[in-house]
Amino acid sequence: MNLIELLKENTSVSDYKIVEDHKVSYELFFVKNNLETVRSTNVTKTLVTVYVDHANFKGDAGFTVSASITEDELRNKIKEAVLTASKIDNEYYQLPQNEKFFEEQKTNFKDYSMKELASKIEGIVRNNSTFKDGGINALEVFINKHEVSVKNSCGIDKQEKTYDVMIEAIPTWNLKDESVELYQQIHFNSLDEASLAKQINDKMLEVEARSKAIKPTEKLSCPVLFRASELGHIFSRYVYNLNYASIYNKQSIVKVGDSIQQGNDCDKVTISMVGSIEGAVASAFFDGDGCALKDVTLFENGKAINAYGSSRFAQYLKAEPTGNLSCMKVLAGSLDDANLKNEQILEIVSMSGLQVDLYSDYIGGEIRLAYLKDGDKITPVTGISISGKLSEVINSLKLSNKCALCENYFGPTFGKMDHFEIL
Amino acid sequence: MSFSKYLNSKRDLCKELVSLLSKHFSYVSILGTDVKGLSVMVTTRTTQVGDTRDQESGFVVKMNDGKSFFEYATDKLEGSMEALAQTILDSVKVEKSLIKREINVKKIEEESLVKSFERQSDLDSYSTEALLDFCQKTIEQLKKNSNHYLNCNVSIQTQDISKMFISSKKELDQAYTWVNGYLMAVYKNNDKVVSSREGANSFLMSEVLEKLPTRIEALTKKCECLTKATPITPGFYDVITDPTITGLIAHEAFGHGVEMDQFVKDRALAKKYVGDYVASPICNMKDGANSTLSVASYFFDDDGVLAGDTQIIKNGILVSGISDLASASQLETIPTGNGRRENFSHKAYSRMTNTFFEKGTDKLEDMISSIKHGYMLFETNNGMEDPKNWAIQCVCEYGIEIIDGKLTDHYVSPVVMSGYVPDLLKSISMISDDFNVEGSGSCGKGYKEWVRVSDGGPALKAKVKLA
Repeated sequence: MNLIELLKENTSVSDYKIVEDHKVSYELFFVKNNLETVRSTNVTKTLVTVYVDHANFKGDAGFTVSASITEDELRNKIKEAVLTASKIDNEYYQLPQNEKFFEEQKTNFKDYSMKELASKIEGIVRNNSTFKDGGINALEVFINKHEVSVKNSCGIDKQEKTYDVMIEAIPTWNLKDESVELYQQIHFNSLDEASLAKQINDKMLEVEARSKAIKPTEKLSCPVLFRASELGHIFSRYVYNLNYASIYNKQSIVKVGDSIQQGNDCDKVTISMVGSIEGAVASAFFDGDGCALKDVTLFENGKAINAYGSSRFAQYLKAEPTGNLSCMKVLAGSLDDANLKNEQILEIVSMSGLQVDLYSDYIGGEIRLAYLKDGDKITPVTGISISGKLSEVINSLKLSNKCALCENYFGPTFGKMDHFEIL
Repeated sequence: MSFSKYLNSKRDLCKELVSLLSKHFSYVSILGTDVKGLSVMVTTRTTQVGDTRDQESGFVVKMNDGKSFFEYATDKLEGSMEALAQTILDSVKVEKSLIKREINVKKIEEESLVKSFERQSDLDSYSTEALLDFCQKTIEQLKKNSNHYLNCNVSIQTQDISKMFISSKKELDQAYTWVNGYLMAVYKNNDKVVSSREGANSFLMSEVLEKLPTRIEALTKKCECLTKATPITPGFYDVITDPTITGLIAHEAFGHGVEMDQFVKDRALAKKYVGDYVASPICNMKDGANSTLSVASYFFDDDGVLAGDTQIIKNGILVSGISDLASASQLETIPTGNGRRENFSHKAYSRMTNTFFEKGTDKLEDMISSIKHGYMLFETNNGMEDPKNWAIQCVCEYGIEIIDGKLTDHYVSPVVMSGYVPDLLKSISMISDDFNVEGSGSCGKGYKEWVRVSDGGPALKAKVKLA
């Protein structure tokens, strides 16, 4: 008897959802230029959620179906889940209904076998990182293929095939008595050889810069320039506050109607959450409930105008479901490279981890490498940290007039903010 | 809890597969995992019951013949083992151009060992319904404790772990459990919203259920203090670290730095400093699944190596690193029992387990009274390592100002501690005579490969940069 038949067999099950992820991977691990490990995986993960409607509530309980489970054990799992769900008084809602869908992500990965692709990518990385004094001293290449399906008892039957590559590379630069490194993780779902080569080459130039970096002898007081990766992280903290689940659970401190930027001396941000961005690995056709994804603008000119989220929490808030969106688009701003020539500025290249906390109104962290730019003079610096009041620095934000993709963020390539304490 | 019946049912198939693949490789092992993870979480407005990310069931085959390591992971071990062996051999083939770039390692030698391990557990005595009932009652107590709570969260997470390791020389199995309980809250007062948490963890559910409700009062008091917290004025300060921050320093400063797969890659500066002073002479630091009983305590690691108890720093001198089978093979050292995988489908790396500073001889009150102006730092939020360049960042949830040797009621939050590892460790001037290891952490390698870890120790007095 299959899983759906067993779920239907239990008459106390009001609804069910089955999410299955079949992943096949091929992985290469290099130490310096040598092949240390070769891995291959073939794994399916199946998650079942059982829903029980009782009084005005909809309780649910989930469990994993592994290869180890027998039919009797599965029957018991369903029975236990029913018992648990019947004691959970979650507000009633309806599951997404009656949509069938199958889509395969467009990618040029299919032009290669997984082994060929892994080997080709390693070649691109190696060819663009071999210097007399520098190289990649550890490289991991993961080639992944996923087949994801979401089915529920209300007629949702959706499947998508996705592909992705993840590279973890450690660019290293060797000096006479010591060496320095940076960390690089690149994630993509279509191979652009020139782009990959440039990213690796740029990182090698940065790690060379780190080898020359100095700790500033005097306390710095200048604006800070963040790159796309940090900007995406900063904006994601605001976006989190406009998720229906955060709002329903009273974890949000930014509400629709609020302005997150004050004054007229900044580029006011316009942020959208979208289902798909070409090249972004988080691109999807539907969310974990099978809900179709609908793009939505959350902030317009610095003001929160919409929220977003799953079908369930949308129903709780009597709002329109957008699905749980994972990709972010931010509109370009007013700043071009020429604007940056006339002042001293600290351009962040690598941080230990940028901390952004809306509750405590804090932004800061330790800098591993930054460029202190003053006109045409560029000095690589390290060993310093920045900290600021988020609500204050965001009012000085100026965004680049050019956009680029960085992981699941497509937006300004850099953003300038002032009023940081640099120590 | 007893060892997985499912894994037992696959024992003979594993032996057959090892035998078949041994025709092609001098070393073949299979790790089978059957891990159950349950999460029961009740918040002010919703309840969730389901499996945790720890849930896994599958097998990973590891092979070596003096060159590169090869691994194949699958969640199904069934049908003809001859056919599966052929699938494995085909799946791990490499492009011809890479064959000449394989590493060379000495033949892996194992000592013969057949053993079963099991730790006392009381998980079987608690049904999901009983845990749900506990969480529902506890959240009502929490809500009653203050009307400033916007949202509360009471959760229980269990791990029920069975692992089996089969090679031509070894046949090991282990079964053990761990329980984490959390209280979390979003709290609003004086127009300020803060979030905070308290926890309890143990190998026994009964201990967690007993301890967790006793933390309610502390959570409410801490939330109220945090609503009055101010940002810290960036600068260099004398600080006292609570055990979680001590643990975070141990973890980020010299835990990652002595993971010996980083030695193989020349990614760890520590490799050059074995035998040298890297910390104040009063510092002693350990790591090991067998060093203390906490969330990362097991009997054998994911390479089938028995759990270790490794002295990393002895009287301020760096003594040893921690290793998995692959890195130890390349370094021609003995693996320390630190080979760990996120789950069966991930690679094993050298990973920390329970990492801590050992206790000293000072009284905490003497340490506080020795500070003219500084902060006592509490509760880890996150941290980041930089083993090559010895930079460190530790994020603390909050600090309490010390003036003239006394703790004040002035809270600062958040607090980011950063600096150069040897500067920080050599500045340690006092170590308290108490000790605590917190078993609720997770650790990534870079930004992936998450495993459960614990860390902790006594209170430390040091001089650091705070921002």
